[in-house]
This record gives sequence, structure tokens and C-alpha cells, in this order.
Amino acid sequence: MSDVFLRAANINKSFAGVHALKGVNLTVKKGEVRCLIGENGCGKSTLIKIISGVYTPDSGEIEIEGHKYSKLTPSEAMNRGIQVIYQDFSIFPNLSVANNIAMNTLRVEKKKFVNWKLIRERAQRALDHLDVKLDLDEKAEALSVADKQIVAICRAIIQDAKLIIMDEPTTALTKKEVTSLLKIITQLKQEGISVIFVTHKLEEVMDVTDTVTILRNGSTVIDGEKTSDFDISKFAYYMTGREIKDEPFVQQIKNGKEVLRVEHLSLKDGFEDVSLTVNSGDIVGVTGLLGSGRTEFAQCLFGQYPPTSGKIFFEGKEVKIKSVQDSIDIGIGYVPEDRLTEGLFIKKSIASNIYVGVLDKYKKNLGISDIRALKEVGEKWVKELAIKTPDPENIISTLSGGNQQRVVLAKWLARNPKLLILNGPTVGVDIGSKSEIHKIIRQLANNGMAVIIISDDIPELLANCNKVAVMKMGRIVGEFDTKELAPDQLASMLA
Amino acid sequence: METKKIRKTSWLRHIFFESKLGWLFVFMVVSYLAMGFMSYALKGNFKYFSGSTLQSMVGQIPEIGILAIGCMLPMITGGIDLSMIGKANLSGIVAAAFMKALISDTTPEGTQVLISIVAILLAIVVGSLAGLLNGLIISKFNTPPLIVTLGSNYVFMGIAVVITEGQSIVGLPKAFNTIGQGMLFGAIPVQFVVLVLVAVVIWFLVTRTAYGTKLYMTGSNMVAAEFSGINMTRLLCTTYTISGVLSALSGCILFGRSSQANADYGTTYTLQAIMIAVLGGTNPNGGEGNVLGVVFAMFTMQFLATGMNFFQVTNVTYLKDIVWGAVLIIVMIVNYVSAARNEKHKLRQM
Amino acid sequence: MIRNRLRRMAKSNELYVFLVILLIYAIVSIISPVFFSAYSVVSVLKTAIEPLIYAVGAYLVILSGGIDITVAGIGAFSMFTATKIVYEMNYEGSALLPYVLAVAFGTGLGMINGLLISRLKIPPMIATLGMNSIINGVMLFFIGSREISRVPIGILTAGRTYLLTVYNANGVAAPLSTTVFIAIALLIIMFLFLRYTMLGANIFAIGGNTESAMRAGINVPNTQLIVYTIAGALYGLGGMVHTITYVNSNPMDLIGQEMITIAAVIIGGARITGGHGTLTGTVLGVLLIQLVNNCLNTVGIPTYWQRFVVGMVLVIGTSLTAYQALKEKRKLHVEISPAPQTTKE
Repeated sequence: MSDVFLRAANINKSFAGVHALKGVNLTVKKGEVRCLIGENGCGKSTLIKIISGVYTPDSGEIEIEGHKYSKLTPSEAMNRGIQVIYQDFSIFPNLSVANNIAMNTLRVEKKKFVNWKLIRERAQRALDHLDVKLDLDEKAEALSVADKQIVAICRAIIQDAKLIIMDEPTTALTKKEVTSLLKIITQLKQEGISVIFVTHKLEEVMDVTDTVTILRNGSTVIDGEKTSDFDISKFAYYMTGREIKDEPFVQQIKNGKEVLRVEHLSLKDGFEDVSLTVNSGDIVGVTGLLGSGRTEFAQCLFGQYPPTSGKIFFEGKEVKIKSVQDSIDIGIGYVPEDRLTEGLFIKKSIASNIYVGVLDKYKKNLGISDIRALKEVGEKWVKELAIKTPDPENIISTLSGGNQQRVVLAKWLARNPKLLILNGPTVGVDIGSKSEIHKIIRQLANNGMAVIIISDDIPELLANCNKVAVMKMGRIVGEFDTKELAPDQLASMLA
Repeated sequence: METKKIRKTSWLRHIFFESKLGWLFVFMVVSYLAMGFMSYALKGNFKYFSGSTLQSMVGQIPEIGILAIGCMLPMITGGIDLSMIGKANLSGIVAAAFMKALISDTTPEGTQVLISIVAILLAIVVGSLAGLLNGLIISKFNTPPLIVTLGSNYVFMGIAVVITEGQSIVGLPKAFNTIGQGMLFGAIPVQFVVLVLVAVVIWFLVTRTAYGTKLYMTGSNMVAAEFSGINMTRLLCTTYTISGVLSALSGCILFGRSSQANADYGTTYTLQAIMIAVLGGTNPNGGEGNVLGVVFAMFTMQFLATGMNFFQVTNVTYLKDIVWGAVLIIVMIVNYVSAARNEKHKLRQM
Repeated sequence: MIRNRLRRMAKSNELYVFLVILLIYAIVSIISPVFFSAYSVVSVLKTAIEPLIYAVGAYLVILSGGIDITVAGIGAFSMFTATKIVYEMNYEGSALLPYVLAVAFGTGLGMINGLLISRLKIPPMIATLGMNSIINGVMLFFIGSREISRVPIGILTAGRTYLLTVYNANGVAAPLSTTVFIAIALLIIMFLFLRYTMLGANIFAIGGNTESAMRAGINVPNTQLIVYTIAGALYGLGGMVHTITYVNSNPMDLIGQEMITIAAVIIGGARITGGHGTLTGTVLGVLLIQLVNNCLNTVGIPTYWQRFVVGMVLVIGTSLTAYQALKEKRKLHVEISPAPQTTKE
């Protein structure tokens, strides 16, 4: 009893008729690092919002350090030491590091006046505590993602956090930065602070956490068991209720016709002297650490940055790509990493999200859009990609994350590209949808498309690509046939 | 199959909750009737409902109505155009100056008509160039539309004032004035015909062409639109240019109606145009807008304005200002309430 | 740390505006040497007092992420109504009562704005657009539209009280009214408010990221309400300063003022999205516009050019900053390793 910090028991919550949480249990001990995993839509974020007081449960009990609550408010939760770090870190971009870290302590103390000396002292103390160096006066918007996260963590610990909940904390971090984060979490643990780590990156779970809680469809499947008792396929099984077999890509079109060839392609401050060939039927992985130029390479191919020098050949002919329009006209498609902001129109219908890319193709006389043809395009791809929806006219926000990703794919497939570039295609996607998206990508390749996957998810690369190019500091440092790669060779190259 | 049935019966729900067209239509009819009966109560006659009143109302709507439609397009993209008046002024002044320079008392009738037509076309060119300038600055420099059009409004007005040297250009040719005073078949004001044409063309553009779909998608998420291959520069320039063309038409109608052109009128017109656009269902944050809604809204405003004229209150313009502001705010409140209810309904559909 | 500070200052918008002001002053002085005098400096300062008061109010609103078109409406209404009341009362006292009345009206009207925006969630652009129309309408319809040129004695006295007077070569006077103290006091108070009160810090926070502000427990609606209320009070204050400066109360005088006010705040470096901008920048923005106006007057360019020039400055100035920000965002940062000696396998 005494070493339990949080006990949420039998939590039920419904929204407008949807039963989001069904008798969920969650118990976290002091100083424990728990990971909370589950498919998109299983209720993770609802649970988080309930224990942080943002939502009130319909029934159930929350007990924090022995105090029982049936109704918890955000400020009470904060007073009890529960701090949530959302994916955007709740940072004020226009305010200084010191302000971001420590101003809230004055708010909690209900101070009417601002003592800047005190703020700076407290902020500096928090930074020293974590053994990090940051300029107190720098505006948060100028910081890297990792530094912003540190600011968020400082802010949490400075407010006497006893339980820190981190939502997808490692999404935008480099390997080095992840290591730094883990060091910080270990230190927190030693001080008796509990951490709940919400993530889709199952490999990380093993390194970071002590125990695991798995939710599925709003119910607790596993709560508090030791992480070391699990492996990835066991996680996948409990998360989805079925066996997820990740068989490697069996390339059916070997030595297909050349689709893309770049020769000594360079982009100032982006990448240098990149040469690569992608054939029909290939799935080529381009990988490297954050800042290696891999994203810049994709952006260049997609026309967002015209190259400084070098040549691009598409289907054997030399082409100049100076704009997104050029790239699309040639037959290149690009599925961006951040699909919600960059790929989807949340309030618009699924169908229109799919046919938005082909508006100019289906026209009748006088420039009138052929609406029926467009709607048929929408319906066709909903079927092809098995997008789960009762009606293609429903809006995107009614779909789950994995389905939303499929809609973005559909949008590009509707254009019939010859080369499809996918940047982080399964970032933030749960393991069930992940394997299905991989299946779709493989199908595309085996039907003749040339595919480039930009990713730092090594298992994803190994399982899906026939060839992998590794970039480091703007250059390609290695190109490998996946079959010939030793098991940890890729990982060590990226370390 | 069940889903198709559900969609058919909710047609009524659609026009009353999702697109608000139903409410707008009702509001319009109620305004007409209410004003009419109030004027009867105050003046003892049904003159409000007469044909000549209707004709007069229908003649006054277009100069603001066309501006309102021109306002709607940039708003759908999430922007705004505060330079409608400046562009209208400038285009009208250029046309007026052109005619004044070429037409004297001795110019034959036929030539006058020709020159007037050219003048109107010239106005349209000027308006579209001004609009294009707005569009280019907004798309190339990424400057907020609010600021650009706030400033460019005064730039355009300034140029217009310079051309006229602060004076009014009076005595515009009769042929030109037709656009503001003429009657088709002796009963329908020419400017109303222009308005109808404009409404139909824009409606067509917005609901039936790729441009229209691109417009709404951009308003929904500009970044995703660019990633989907929509050329933002082209879209924004087209939008603001059309706004410029409509401003020019409005300017010609206004000057034609009063048979004189001065550079400094109509700062309240901007407010009214935006008001009608918003009243008509255009979302100031982008993504929504409906030509028919704007049309209902402009009629409603005119019914109210004419009605107030009938009350024979002195300084009725000021009373109108109060009513415009109040109507705008009330409509926004209604929007807010109905949007909240709509969200709940959509959630239930999940 | 100091180097970082200097680096940040060098990139700042305020520095550019300051340099532009110096540049314009220098150029005009070269073209027309009589311009280089205390007279021209005081001329600019004296005409800057009233717009500065408006601009501080607008700055507060824009800082919080909103916008306010009611500058002219509230300003005119407050000053005209206050003057009219005092006039009808045949009041013989000092200008204090008119000031208090004007600020009171401004506060009340600003509060209505605040309620519409914070409680009813009406977009600020629309809410203030509508309110401006209502306020103008009510003022002109119910209170009157004829200017009051025989102003009450208190206002007259205040208007004729000068701190100092500078004369130019032709003996024309540029008196600096004691209202300059109001402006200075306002700046000091506002600076302390924004820097040292929690409310001030909250305004910056809301403008920076409204969602995070809510999560941090800031009462966003209340803060917004306060912002628009203070702004209204300042517009009222500025309006009364106008009446005192011109010793005349004409409700039509302030038409179009909102555009110049917003222009000054934006030119001073505030972003329309909120969270950015300083009081210094706002002051510089106002000074720049007044300087430009004064230069036009000196060179003999008629008043209708002034709006044109301000419009140009606004469009060009903001386009340059926006373009710079765009270029900055698109900049790539990959550190490229030197060319390898051996060929890759």
C-alpha cells in the first residue's frame, strides 16, 4: 500500500454513446517506470486525461498516495504531483527558457507579481539538477525538439512532480537525444518519481521501462507486469488480440525497369553527391540519423527544394524538378511524416481527401468537375485499401489513426505515381495497422511501383526493403542488399 | 443501403443545421414581412410591399452584394480582403477619367457607348491587377492577408485620389450610367442583372470546378493542400484577382448610379460586405462559404435597410449602423450555438 | 550569455525601425536643412502623443493574439460623449472630469468587446467590426453628430497648457502639451504591468500558445476580457487627449484611426498572431508613422497622401519581415561531411 503512488480502479468513460474505457485498472508504484501501450483508439489518451483530471470518469475510483477521488480536477492532480508532458510539450514558443520552466510555479503559488530573479534561480536549479546546459534567456522557439522536451521535463520536476506522464516522447529525437532522455528518466526513478511512458515504439519499451500496461479496446489487458517477461511479438499479441507475423518482403519484380536514377545530386545544406537507383518493384530504404539529409533528399525529389547540382533521371529521361507540381507531373508521390497536419483535411470527407490530388484529371467540358467520377475514385480506394468506414462521405476525424494513414496513401495512389516516397510511414501508428500498411506497400511494389521508404525504424527497414542506403552527414555512406546485411550491422551504422 | 436512406431524410436537417441555408431563407422572408408590417404600423400604408419599392431595393443591392461575394472568396481560404473599397474606387476612377478624357459633348452617341464599354473593361482590368497584386504579395511573401489588404486598401485609394486630385469627376456619360441606372425590359435594374450573372458565375466556379474544390480544401488545411499538389500561388492569386474584378464591377455600378465618381466614399461598405458574407454563412476562419447564403443575406440586409428608411427617422444611416453591427454579432452567436450542436451530432454519428 | 543577448538584439525588429527612423530623418534633413531642428523633433513628438495612447491599447490586444477595430469608434464615442456631458452641465472645473468620463466610457465599451470575444467566442475581427458599427451608430444617432467647438473651460485650459514651446525659423510654434506626461506615465505603467505582474505574463503566454496557457491553468477568458477592457479605456483616454489637443470635439475626426494604429503596432514588430512585440517597438512604430506624416507635411504633400504612404510602409514593412521569416523557416541545416577519400563499396 505504501509504495503505490497511483491506483485507478474500474474506470468507465463514455463519449456520446461511445464506451471509451470499460472498467480500466492502472496501478503505478513510486519510482516505477511504466509503459502504456495499445493500438490507436484503445483509450490510452482518455485514460491519461482522466488521471490528470482533464476528464471526469463516469464511474470508478482514483487513489493518489492513499487519497481517494471520484472527481479529480486538473489543479488537484497537479497539486498531487501528476504532470503530463504532451507531444507539443505545452511550450510557449515566444517566451524564454526560464519563463517556460519556472513561471508556472509562481502561478501555482497564486502570486500576483513576477519576480524574475526567483524565476531564473528556480529554472537554473532545475537545469542543474538534470545536469543540462541551456541559455535561460533563449526563446523556446529557437530550441531543438530535444531541448524543448528538456524544458518541459524541468517544468514538471520543478512543480514537485511525483508522476510524469510522457506522451510519445521520442518521436522527434535522435538516438543520442533518446539516450540523454533515458538518463534523465533513470535519475527521476532514483528520486522516487514515477514515469508513465506512452509510446508506439515497442523496441524502446524494452530498454526503458520496468513494467507495462496494455490496453485493448478500452479494457486493461495487462497491468503492471514486468517488461522483461515480454517480447515484441507478445506485445503485439496482447495489443491486437491476434498474432502479428512480420514476414520479410518477398520481392517479386527483381531487376525491374529503372524508374528513378539520381547522379551526384547535391542540395546546399541538405545533402551532397547522392547517387541512387530505384527500379520498378523495388522498395529502397533510405535511412540515417536525424540530420543526415535523408528527409532533405526526399523533399528535393518532391520538388520542395530544387537541387543545386547533379542530375535526375526518371524512366531513363533526364528531368528537372523545380516545384512540387513538376514532381507530381513526372509521377512522383510523397507521403509526409506528419499526416495530420501535412496530409489530411480533418473536417472534410474521406472521399474528398482521396480525390483532392486528382481534381484536374476528371473534368467534363467547360471545366466542370466530374463529381461522380471523383466520388468513384474515393469509393474505389476506400475498398482497395480497406479503409474502415461506413460512408466515404464521413469526415476524416471519424477514422482511427491507422485508417487515416491509409487515406493519405489513397490520395497518392489515386494519382497513379510511378515512384512513391514514404517518409516515416508508420510513425505513431500502432503495431496492428503498421503491419497492414507494410502489406499495402509491398503489394504496390510487387505490382510494379518503385518505392522509397525513409525511416529510422530498423526492423521496418529490414523487413520491407530489398535495398537500404545509409546516409550520414549528407552523404550516402553505404548501400546494401538487405539480404546480405548482418543482423546488427544496420543498427551499429546508425549509432 | 441503410446509410443512403438516412442521408435522404436528413436533407432537411442538412439545410437547417449543416449549411444554415434554411435559417437564412426564413430570416430573409421574416425580415421582409416584419419591415413591411412595421412600416404599415408607422405610416399606415403598404407602400413597402409595392413593386416600385421592390424595384428600388433590387437596384440598391448589387453594389454591396457584389462586394460581399467578392469578400467571400478570400475568406474561404482563411484570409480576408479589406481592400475591396480601395479597388472599387480605383477601378471606377480610372474608368471615369478615361471617359472624361475621351468624351465631350460633341461625341456621337454610338461612340459614347463604345467608349463606355471600353471604360468598364478598363475598370475590370485595373481591379484585377490590383487584386493580383494582393495575391502575389500574400503568396510570395507569406504576409498575413489582413495586413496586406489593410494597407493596400489605402494605397489604392491614395492612387485614386491622386488621379482625381481630390475632386469628384462629375457628369459621366449616359451610356455608362446605364450600368447603374438602366432598366432591362423597363423594369429590372441593369445592375441587378449584373449581380445575378456574377452570382451564377461564382456559384458555378465554386461548386462545379476544380478551382472551387481546391478553394475549400485550402481553407480547410493550407499545408495539406500544398502537399496534395495544389499550387498555392495560383490559387491565391486567382482568388484575390476575382475579388478585384468584382470590386471593379461594384465601383462601376456605384459611380454609374450616382453619375459621379469620387475617390473617398464607402468606408462603411467594407464592414457591410464582410457582414453580409459572414451572415451568409462564410466562416471567417476559412473552409466554408456559400453563394446562395450570401445572396439571401444581401437581400435580408436590403430589406432591413429599406424598412428603416420607411420609419422616417432622421439620421437613419446611423440607425442602420447600429442594426448592421447588432445583426452581425447576433448571427455570430447563433453560428456558435449551432456549430456546437452540430459537433455533438457528428460525434454521435461515429 | 551577453553575446547571445547582443545577437538577439541585432536581429530584432525594433532596431530596424529605429534605423529607418534615423535614416528618414537624415535624408529629409539633407534635402531640406531646416528640417534638422528641435522644431521638427518636437513636432513629431507632439503629434505622436495621441496615437501612442491608442497604439498601446491595440498592442495589448494584438499581443494577446486578438485584434481590435474599435479604436476609432470607442475613441470618438468616449471623447464626444464626455465632452457633450460636460458641455451640457456648463461645467467649470478642470479637465479631470472629462478625462474620467472618457476613460469610463472607453472601459465600458471595451468590456463589451471583451465579453463578446471571451464568453461568446466571437472571432475578434468580427466582434470588433460589428461593435465599431454599433458604437458609431449609437453615438451619431443618439448623442449627436455636430462638433463641439466651444469646449468647456477645463478642456480649453488643459489644451493651452504647454510643457515647452519650440519655434521654427518662421516663428511658428510647436508646443508640447502637458498631455505628454500622460503618455509617459502610461508607458511606464504599462511596462511595469507587462514585465512584473502575473497578468502581464499571462497575456504573453496566451498570445504565444493559447492551448498551453489553458493547460497551465491560466484563466484565458478572464485575461482576454481584461485586455479588451484596458484597451477600451486607453482608446477613451486617447480620445480625450485628442479633444484637448485640438480644443475641439468632432465625432468624425477619428475615422480611419484604427488602420494607422494597427499599422504602427505591426510595424513596431508585433505579430498579428500574438505573443511577439515590445512596448519599445510600438513607440517606434508610432514615431515612424508620425515622422513620415510630418515629412510629407513639411514637403507640402497633401493629407490624402499620408494614408497612402502609411499603407505602403505597412505592406512593404510586413512583407519584408514575413519573407525573412519564410526564408528562415525554409533554411536547411544539414552538416555535410567533407568528401571521402576512398570510393564507397
